[in-house]
Amino acid sequence: MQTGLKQQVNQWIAKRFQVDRSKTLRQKDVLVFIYKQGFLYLVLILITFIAGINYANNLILGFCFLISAILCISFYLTFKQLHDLQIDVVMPEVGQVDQVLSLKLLFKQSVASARYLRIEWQTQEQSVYIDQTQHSVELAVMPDKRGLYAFETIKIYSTYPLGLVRAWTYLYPKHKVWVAPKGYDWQKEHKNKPTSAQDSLDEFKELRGFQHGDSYQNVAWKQVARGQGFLIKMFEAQANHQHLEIDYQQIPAQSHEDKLSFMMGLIEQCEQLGDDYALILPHARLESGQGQSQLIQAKLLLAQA
Amino acid sequence: MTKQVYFCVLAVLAFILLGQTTFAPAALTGLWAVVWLLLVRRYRKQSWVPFPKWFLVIFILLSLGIVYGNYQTIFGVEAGVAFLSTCLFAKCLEAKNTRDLLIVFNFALFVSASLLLHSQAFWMALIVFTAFLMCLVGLYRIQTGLFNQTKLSSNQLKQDVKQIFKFVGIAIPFFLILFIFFPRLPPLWAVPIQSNQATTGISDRMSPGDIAQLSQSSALAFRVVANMSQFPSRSELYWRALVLDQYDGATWTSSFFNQQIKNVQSTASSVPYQYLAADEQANWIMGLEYSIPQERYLQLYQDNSIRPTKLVKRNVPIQMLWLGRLPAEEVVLSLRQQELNLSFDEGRDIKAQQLAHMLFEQSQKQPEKYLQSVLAWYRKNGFVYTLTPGTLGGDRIDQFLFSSRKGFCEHYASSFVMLMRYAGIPARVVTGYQGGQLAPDGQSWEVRQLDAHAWSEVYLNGKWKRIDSTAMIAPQRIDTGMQDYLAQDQNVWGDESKAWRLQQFKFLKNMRIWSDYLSYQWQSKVVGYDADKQKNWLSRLGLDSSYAYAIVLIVGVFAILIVYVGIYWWRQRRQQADYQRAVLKFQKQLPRNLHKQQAETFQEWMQRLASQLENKQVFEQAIVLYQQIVFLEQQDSANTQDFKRLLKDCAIALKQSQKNL
Repeated sequence: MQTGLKQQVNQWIAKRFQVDRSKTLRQKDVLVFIYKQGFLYLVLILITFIAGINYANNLILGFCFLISAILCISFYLTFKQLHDLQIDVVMPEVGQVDQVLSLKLLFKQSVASARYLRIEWQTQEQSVYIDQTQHSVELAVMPDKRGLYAFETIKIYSTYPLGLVRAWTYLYPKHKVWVAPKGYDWQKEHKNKPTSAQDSLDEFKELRGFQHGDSYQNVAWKQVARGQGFLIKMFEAQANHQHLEIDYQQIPAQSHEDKLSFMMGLIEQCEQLGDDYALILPHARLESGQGQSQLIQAKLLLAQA
Repeated sequence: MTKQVYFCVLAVLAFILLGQTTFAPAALTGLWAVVWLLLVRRYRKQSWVPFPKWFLVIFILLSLGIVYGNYQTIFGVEAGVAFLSTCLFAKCLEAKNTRDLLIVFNFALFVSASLLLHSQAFWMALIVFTAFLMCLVGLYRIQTGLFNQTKLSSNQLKQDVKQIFKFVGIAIPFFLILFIFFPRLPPLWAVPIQSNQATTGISDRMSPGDIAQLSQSSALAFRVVANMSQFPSRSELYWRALVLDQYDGATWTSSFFNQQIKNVQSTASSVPYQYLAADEQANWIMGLEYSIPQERYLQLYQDNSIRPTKLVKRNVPIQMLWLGRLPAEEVVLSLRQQELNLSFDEGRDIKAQQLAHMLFEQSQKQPEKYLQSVLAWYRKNGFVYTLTPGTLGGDRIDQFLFSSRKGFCEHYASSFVMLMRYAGIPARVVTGYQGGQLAPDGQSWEVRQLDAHAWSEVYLNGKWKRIDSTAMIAPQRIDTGMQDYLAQDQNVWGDESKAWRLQQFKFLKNMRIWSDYLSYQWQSKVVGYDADKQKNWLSRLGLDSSYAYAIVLIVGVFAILIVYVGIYWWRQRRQQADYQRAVLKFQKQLPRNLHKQQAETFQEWMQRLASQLENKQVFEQAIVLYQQIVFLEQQDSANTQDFKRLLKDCAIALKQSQKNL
C-alpha cells in the first residue's frame, strides 16, 4: 500500500516536474514548506504567544510577533532562492557502461544574486553557491547496464537564510540516454599490440588532405606554413590501414551481450588506430568511417541493439 | 565554520548573562560567568570537544541548588527563568554537532524572551533584541557555513549582521501591523506573579540625626499624568506618603491608628489624574494631598496614606482622584490619639522644652500665636538648610536647635513637631514628596527621589493644619522646587562642595530627565499597550471590533506584500541598463515577427530588420554604438542618448517601409 502510494507520488512528480533541456523555475514549480527545525521554531512562537498573553507581557507578545514575521519573511526569501532560476539540462548523446556519464546542470539568472542551493540526487548531496549569472554543475553517474538509461529525479532545494523553511523543486529529465555496452578489452587478451600510429620510427609515406578525426599530431605543419593547405603526414603503418567490417553474425561469442561487447571493443580499437570501420547488425548498418561522429553513431546502434 | 557559529553562541550567552545580572542571585550569575569563561577558553583553543558528563551534572545540580536556596522553589517566574538559563548554559556545554547548535539557538531565543518577564524596561528590550539578532546570525551562519569556508573576521561578522538586519528590516512592517492590530486576549490561565520584597525611596521610619549626608538621587519616584492647570502651583504640591507620630528620642515611626481604613466620597470639584510609579512595587502611592484611589486593590487609610492591599506588579497607570482645594476636614481625636500626638519624653531635650514653655508663655498660651513665634524663632536664629548636617547624638532636638542649627527638612519637621508637643499642641510628622517638575513634553509631571520631603501637621481647632517649617529656612526649596534649588544654591551641598559636583549634578539631572521621559514613553506606548489602549487607539481610527482589527491586519499584511513586490520589481528594472530598456522599448513597437529571437544576437537581429529596407545606415550605426556600449563599456549618458535616438530612427524607417508595402 505504502509503496504503491510512493510510486504514485513519484509518478506525479515525474509528470509534474518534467524538464526538457531548459526550464525556468516559476511560481508553480517551487514548493515551499517549513523545514525540520522550523517546527521547533513554531513551538517557540506558540510558547512565547501563550507566555505573552498569560503574563500580559506586551514585550514578549511583541517578541512573538517579531519571530513570526521573521518566519513569514523566511518563506519569501527561501522561495526567492529558487524562483526565476533558469536551469539548462545538458545531457551526453550516448553513454557507456562503467564509464562516467555526466549530467550537466547549467544555472542561469538574469541578475547576479547570491543563491545557496543544494542538489540531492540519488544518494548524494551537493552544495552549490551561485553568485554569478551562470554556473554549471556536473552530476556524475556510472551506468551498469546497457540500454536506455533514465536519470533519476533531481531535487534542488534551499534552506537559506535561517533554515526554518525549505524551498525545493524536482527536475525530472524527460530525455533518456542510450548506454552502449562496455568494450571488450582486446589488448588484454592479445599482448601483441598493434603498433601505434604515432610511432615515430615509422617510415613516412605520403601527404594527404585533412579528414575529420585526424590527429593533430600528424599535421604537416611545414606544408601548412607554406600555404600548401592543411595536410596530414601519412606513415607506412597507417598507409596499409585496415578497413574493418564488424559484423554481428561473425563475432565469436555466445550471448547477445557478449557479442555486443566484443563489437564495442573492436570499434574502440579501430578508433584508437584510426582505422575505418563499418558496423553490421541484424537490423541496422553503419557505413564505413571513423571519428567522433562515427563513434557516437556506432555506440548508439550498439546501445539500441 | 564551527568557529563562526560558536562565536554567536558566546555572544548570545553573554547578552543573556548581562540581562540576568540584576535579577538572578549573584552566586548563580557568578557560576554562569565561570561557565561562559570556560566556553571562551575552549573557543580560543579551537577545540570543540564537549565538556565531560560529570562536569555537566555538577553544574546543573549546583545551579539548581542555588535556585532552590534562593527562591525555595524551582517553579514560579523568577526561579523558572533562572532554571531556563541554566538549561541553556548546560546545553552549550554539551553541544557537539550542528543539530545541537540549532537547538541552542532556538532555545536561546526562548530564554531571551523569558528575560522580559524580569523587566520590560527599554534597556532590557535592547538586550533581548541584540540576543535575538545574534541568534539569527548564528542560524544564518549554520546555513551559509556549508557553502563557504571563510575565516572568521570582523568583516564577515559585519556582513552577516548586515544581512540579518536586512531580513529584520523587511520583517518589521509585518511586526508593527501585528503588534498594533492583533487583538489582545485575556490570560488563558492564572499565572504566578513574583513576590519579592518591595523597596522604595520612602521608608516607614525616620531618624533625622542619623544621616550625616543626604545623597541626592535624581531617580524618578513617580509620574503624574494630568491636566496640570487644574492642580495647585508647585509650592502647594504636597505628595503625601504617610504620617509618623511616634518619637522615641531618635526615630519616628507610625502608630497603629494610621493603619485603619478610611472611606471618603469624591466631590464635584474632584480632579482625576493618573499616577505612574517608577518602582513597580512601591509600598505607598504618593497621592496629591488629599486624594482617593480609584482602583480596587488600593486602600485609603486614616492618615490619608494610600497603599496596595495586595502585592501586584503594576506598569499601568493608577487612576486617582484629587479632592480639590477643600478646607481641611474636622476630625475628632480620641483620647488615645490625643495622647499619642502629645507624647514626649520629659527627661529628654530639656532645653527645647524650656524654650517651648517660654515661647508659649510669650504668646499668651494661644496656639496660633505660639506657632508663629516658633517659626519666627527659627528665622531669627541663623538656621541653615543643608544636605550635610552631620550626625546628632544624645538629646537630638536640643543639639539641633541650640548648637548645630544645620539640617534638612526632616530636622526641621521633627524639631517643630516636638516644640508643638512640648506646649501641649497635638502635632505629627508627614513624609512624602514636595514639588516636582514638568516632563520635557509638558504632558506629565515628574517627581524625583530628591523631591522627598517631610513636613509637620498641627492639630488646631479640630483640624490638622499643615505647617512646613522648612519653608521658613529655605523658602526657595519650596517655591522653585528642590531640583532648581540644588542647581542654584551651592551652599546646600555642604562645605566641601566643589563646582564640578554641581556641574555633575546638572548634567546628570538632564540625562535623568530625558532617560526617564523615554522610559515613560516606552512604558506607556509599548509596554502598556493593552486591550484598553488598543481599543481606544483603534476606535479613533474608526475600528470598533475584533473583526475589524483582523480585517485591517490582513489587508495591512497584503498591502505590505504589494509594496515589497513593487520595490522588488522597481529594483529589477533599475538593474537593467538604460540601453537594455531602450532595446526592449524598441522591440515593443514592432510586430511580432520582427521581434528579436532567442538565438539572434543584437547584430543579427538588426541586420535582419535592415535587410528589408533601403536605408541600412541607421541600423549599422545602431549596431556599432551598441557594440561600443556593451563591449567597450562606454556606457555614458551621451552614448545612451545617441543610441536611443538611433533606435527611434530605426523604428521610423521600419514604419515607413511598412506603409510603402
